[in-house]
Amino acid sequence: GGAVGAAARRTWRGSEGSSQQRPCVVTPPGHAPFRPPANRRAGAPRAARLSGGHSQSPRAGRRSGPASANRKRHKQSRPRPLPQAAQSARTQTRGTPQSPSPEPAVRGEGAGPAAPLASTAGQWRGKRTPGGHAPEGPAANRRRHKQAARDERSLEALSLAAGGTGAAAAAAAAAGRPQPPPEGRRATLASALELEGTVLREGRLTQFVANNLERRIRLSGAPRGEQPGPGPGPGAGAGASSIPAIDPGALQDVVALAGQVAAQVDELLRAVHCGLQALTALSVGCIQTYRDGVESLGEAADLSIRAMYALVARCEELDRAMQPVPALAKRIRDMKGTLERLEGLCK
Amino acid sequence: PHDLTDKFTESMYVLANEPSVALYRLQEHVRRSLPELAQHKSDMQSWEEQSQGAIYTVEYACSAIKNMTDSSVYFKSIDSLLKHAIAMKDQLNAAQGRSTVAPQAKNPPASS
Repeated sequence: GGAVGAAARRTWRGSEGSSQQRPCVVTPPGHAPFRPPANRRAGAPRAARLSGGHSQSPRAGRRSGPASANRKRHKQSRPRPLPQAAQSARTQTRGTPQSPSPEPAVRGEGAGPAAPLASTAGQWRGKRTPGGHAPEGPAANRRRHKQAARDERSLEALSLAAGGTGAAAAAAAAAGRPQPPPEGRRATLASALELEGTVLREGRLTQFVANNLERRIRLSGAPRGEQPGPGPGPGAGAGASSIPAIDPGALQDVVALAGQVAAQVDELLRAVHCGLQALTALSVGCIQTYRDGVESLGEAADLSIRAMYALVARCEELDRAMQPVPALAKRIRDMKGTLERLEGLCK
Repeated sequence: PHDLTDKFTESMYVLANEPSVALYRLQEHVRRSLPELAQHKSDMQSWEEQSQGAIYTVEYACSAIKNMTDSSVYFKSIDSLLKHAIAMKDQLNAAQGRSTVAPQAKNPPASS
């Protein structure tokens, strides 16, 4: 009961397969990052269930086998269910060691930087795919929903019986509809998510607990085989319906590598920041030198112009002083003549 | 298709590239125009020095002319004295002319 009740708690990343959130689910970069919720249930039975295959076998028969042209899409769909299952298994494998106190801090740091990237990646991929198979998606989804409604309700009924939270009840009631009615509705992120699970806001962090993650994983994988399925024939392969066994070692490797990637991205950003600071400091010095040069040039020009004006003033003064000089010169000439007359008289 | 890493690398590229290019252009402009500014500044300083020299020259000339105009008094007195001297000389000449006529009649028997 408790193990199945844990089925109600999934980490859902992106709107894959269901084209419901096509227009509206976009994580803004400044938005609160997702954080996988602490998995308090026992993770061992869950891991066993994941690795052993899935109980939703009636849906497995519906997946038509792909042709060679569709192998590519299946390859695309394969890695996507894998990371999602990886994310869900991560929450469970992390829940297994049963160390709650250092975990939220570690997970908050490691999953904080990693989860936004992963969540945005999942959402971008989810955004791409609904645009691709949007015309066939709703019809296929409705058919699938009608067939899977049984096990979906059984899942949620079990989760309700196991004492799921009121959010699970609300999610069960909300997920009773095959699809959220408005396809063109521009809902906010929280209201779009509230249909698919629980949203808890904790200041900057947002917790999201999705319901029926396995169904979504199947839905994300199904349409890629559904579209080209009727064409090449269903005999090409029947193994595309069920999720293959997940390797926990690979998941842990993915977790570690994702943490490393996040750390390296942090370092990269820090290095870029420091480099830019150094560049701007250098440029500030350069421009201050330029400013000093320009100021001294302006001062020199100012002095030069002052000197020019002073020269003009002195010249004007000199010009005024020159006025009595010609009269004086005339008098001196007269005196000279007088003197010569005297000299002539004396000789 | 453009996945997360593409978008991230593009954003990192833009983040690192735009300020670098901008700052490079800034320092390039500064580097190009600083020597010209320094040249203009030295030109201005030389012109200012020449102007100062010219100012001092004009100042000396102006003071010289002022002193020259101060000497007009002396020239006036010189002129009057000269005129007096000419007048005296005329009187002396006139007096000597009269005196040379009178002793001219007594002088030749005295001087033979």
